[in-house]
Amino acid sequence: MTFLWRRALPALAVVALLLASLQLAQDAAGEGGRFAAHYRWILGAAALALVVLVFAIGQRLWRLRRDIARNAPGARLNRRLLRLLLVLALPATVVVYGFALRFLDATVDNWFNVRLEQALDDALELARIVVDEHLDAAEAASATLAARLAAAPAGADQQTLDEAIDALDAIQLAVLGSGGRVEALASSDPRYLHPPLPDGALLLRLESDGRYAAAEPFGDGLALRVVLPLGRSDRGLAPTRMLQGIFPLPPRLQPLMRSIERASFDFQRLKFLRGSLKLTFALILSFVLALSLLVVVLAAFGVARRLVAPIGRLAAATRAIGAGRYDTPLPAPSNDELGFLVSSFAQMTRELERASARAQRSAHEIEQQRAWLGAVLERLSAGVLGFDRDGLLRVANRAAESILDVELGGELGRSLAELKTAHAELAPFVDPLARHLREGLREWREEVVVATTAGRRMLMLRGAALPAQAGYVAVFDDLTVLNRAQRDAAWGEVARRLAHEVKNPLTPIQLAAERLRRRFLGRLPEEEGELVDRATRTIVSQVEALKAMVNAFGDYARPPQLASGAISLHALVGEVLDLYENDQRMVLERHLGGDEPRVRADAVRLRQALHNLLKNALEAIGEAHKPHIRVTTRVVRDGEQDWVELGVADNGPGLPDDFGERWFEPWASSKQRGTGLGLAVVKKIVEEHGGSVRAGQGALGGAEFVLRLPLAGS
Amino acid sequence: MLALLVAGCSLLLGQQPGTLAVKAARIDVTGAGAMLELDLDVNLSGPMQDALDHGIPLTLRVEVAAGAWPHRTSVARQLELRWYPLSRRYQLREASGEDVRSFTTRTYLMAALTSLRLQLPARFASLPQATRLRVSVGLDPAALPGALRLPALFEPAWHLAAPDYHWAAP
Repeated sequence: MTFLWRRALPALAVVALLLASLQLAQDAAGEGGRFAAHYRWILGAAALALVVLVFAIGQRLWRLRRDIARNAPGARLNRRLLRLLLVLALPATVVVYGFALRFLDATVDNWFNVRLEQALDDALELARIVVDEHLDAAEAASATLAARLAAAPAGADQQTLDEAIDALDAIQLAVLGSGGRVEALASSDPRYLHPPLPDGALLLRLESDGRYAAAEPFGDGLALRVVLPLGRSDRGLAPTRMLQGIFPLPPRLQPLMRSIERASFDFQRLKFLRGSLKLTFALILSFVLALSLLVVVLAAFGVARRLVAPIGRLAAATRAIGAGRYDTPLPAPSNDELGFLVSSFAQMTRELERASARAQRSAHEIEQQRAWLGAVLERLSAGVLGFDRDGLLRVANRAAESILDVELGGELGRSLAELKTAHAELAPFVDPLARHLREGLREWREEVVVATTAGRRMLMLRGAALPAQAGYVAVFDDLTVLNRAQRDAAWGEVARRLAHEVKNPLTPIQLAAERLRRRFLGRLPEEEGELVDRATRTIVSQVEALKAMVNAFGDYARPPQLASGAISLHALVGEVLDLYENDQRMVLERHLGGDEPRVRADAVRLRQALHNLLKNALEAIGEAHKPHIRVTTRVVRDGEQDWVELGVADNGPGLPDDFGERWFEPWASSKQRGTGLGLAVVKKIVEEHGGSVRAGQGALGGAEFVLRLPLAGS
Repeated sequence: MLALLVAGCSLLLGQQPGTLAVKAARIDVTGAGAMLELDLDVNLSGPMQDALDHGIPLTLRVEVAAGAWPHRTSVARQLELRWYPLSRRYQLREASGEDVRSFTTRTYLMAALTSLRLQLPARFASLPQATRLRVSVGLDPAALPGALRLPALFEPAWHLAAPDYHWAAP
């Protein structure tokens, strides 16, 4: 359908106009008349073709305007080219039209020069004179014959005519009676057996002049017709009988006469048709002009479209490539400069696609590196802060937030001054950091102490400028934790040596003291015997005490060898608490929450930890008032991990003011008696199970220690 | 251009067309067949008379139709009016026949059109009684010279056609 409207119909219209113009021109020149009866249809078809062409052009104009309005690629260039082509073609066409009209007018006028017309008129007059001379001769011969007929007896007319026809060299001789009745007839040519009857005009002439002689068309040529009345004819009265003679012109004169008459005839006809001929050719030329103009406009559209189409597609491809779509098809390159442009564009597209792919790969790799770096940073125990060249915070890992005990996610993009304003407690950390950044040192380190909500922390702060002035990075370690780990290791070593070096001599000392007691207790005087008894008892009891203490250290220093298994925490807690249940000196309260939380743990070690906590609580309460201990469990969720918390609270004096991490180290105790290893062992056991321990004020007014253990299967 | 167009249109509208009418028509059945006897009232327009005097032949097309579809039969005859400058005579000729009549004046030529006899095919001699007959007469523009055909389409002076004449066969 589109092909019909856009190509076939305009082409058909052009062909129709051409055919109509050719046919009209041919007919106007007098070369044919086959379609003369169909002029209305031809003109209608031509008008319809003009309408179709005008419509096709209008449609193209409307489409071009729409393309320009929606900023289609190449539309404006198309309009410019169209204007250019029309400016080049239209004036030339109109000028040719004007000249053709003028030329036609001058040419047609030149056909009718005066001398030629005069010559033809003279020739015609000459022919008439010749005819008149022959007419006079024919009339004279006819008059002689008419006299003979008049003198001849009645009934001899036919004989007279038969005798005269050859003598007079006539074609036909006839005697006509009244009413056109043929009374006698003689013919030298069998083709003319019927005499032409005199018409009213002839009779009128005969009545008025008494004779009629004229050259008349006869058959294919010209013949001389003479009509004379027979007998006496009074002027003004119609004759009753007439002699009519048809005489030929000499054969040599016939073609000459015919030629002269035809030439004069044609000239007069052409002269008369001059105006019509001009008008017809002007109309045809106007048709051709309209056709030319419309074809030029259509062709201009086509040429402009063909020229601009590759450029438009290139422009569209440019936009598509600008949007990142490299698979946009390009026009097929032609063998010209435009083809070179297309080829170059295609090559540039390929290069761009490769560069884009490389950039994407690089971006992906950078993203991977960033993710990898982020993962590394997140898993570093050291805190890391990154600053750009303007000193704005860009990176902070989780360890930094943990160590500084602040949320740094919301501080990204802020300067150190703003960070200090928002978190005044970080001033001891921020100030040296800002100072070093200002100084622009390549690398530096400094120890700083920061008071956080979790206590004072000693930090080793190190900084370095990034290459290419990309910014700065600060890394800091929590020396507090390092120191504690070092102390834990040292205490482990002490405990191990104590177990090894001190425990071994204790048994011989105890045995030696018991041997002295058995040998000398009954043999010595009473006073000396009592001295030996007290001394050996003291030695044995102190050795036992030392053994107990050494065993405790042994437990603390023992490397973790857990016999882990999934156990029910409530069952284990119940077993331990049952041992204290019957003790009337204390109140034991249990609040076990959750649905039988199960933990993966060494039941013996965990039971020991709970014993230590209960014992620690009882020792802390002392004998001031009746001990009241509450044991609780509850399940909590922290991040992606489910935990169970086991709390032991008492109604003792509570935690000392300076309670901190140090109180979980050996020898840290506020009690007169004890090894100071209870909480240290509890902490060690809990950490062996992947948990943690914390202390705080309990609901009963005293302290509360809470063990946090991971739930089994979580 | 528009002014020229308007002037041309006004000139065309100012032209006086000729008149043509069929005053009487009948079919005369003779031993030789059927003859159409026509009485035409012809008044040529000025341009037509001028053209005739300048050697342009004028052709009148006479179409006779009998009956109704599908038994309709028709025949067309052409009458040529012409001027011969050498003999200074007008000629009336039936194109298909040999009947040629010449006249010294145009008046006689026009008068001859009031009593035309045209030979018809034999089928017109045996038409059933009361068969409807129709004759239409008009100037045949296709017979005009090529240069005159296009203007004749637009100029009223060149429009010459008689209203159809109807009668019934006796």
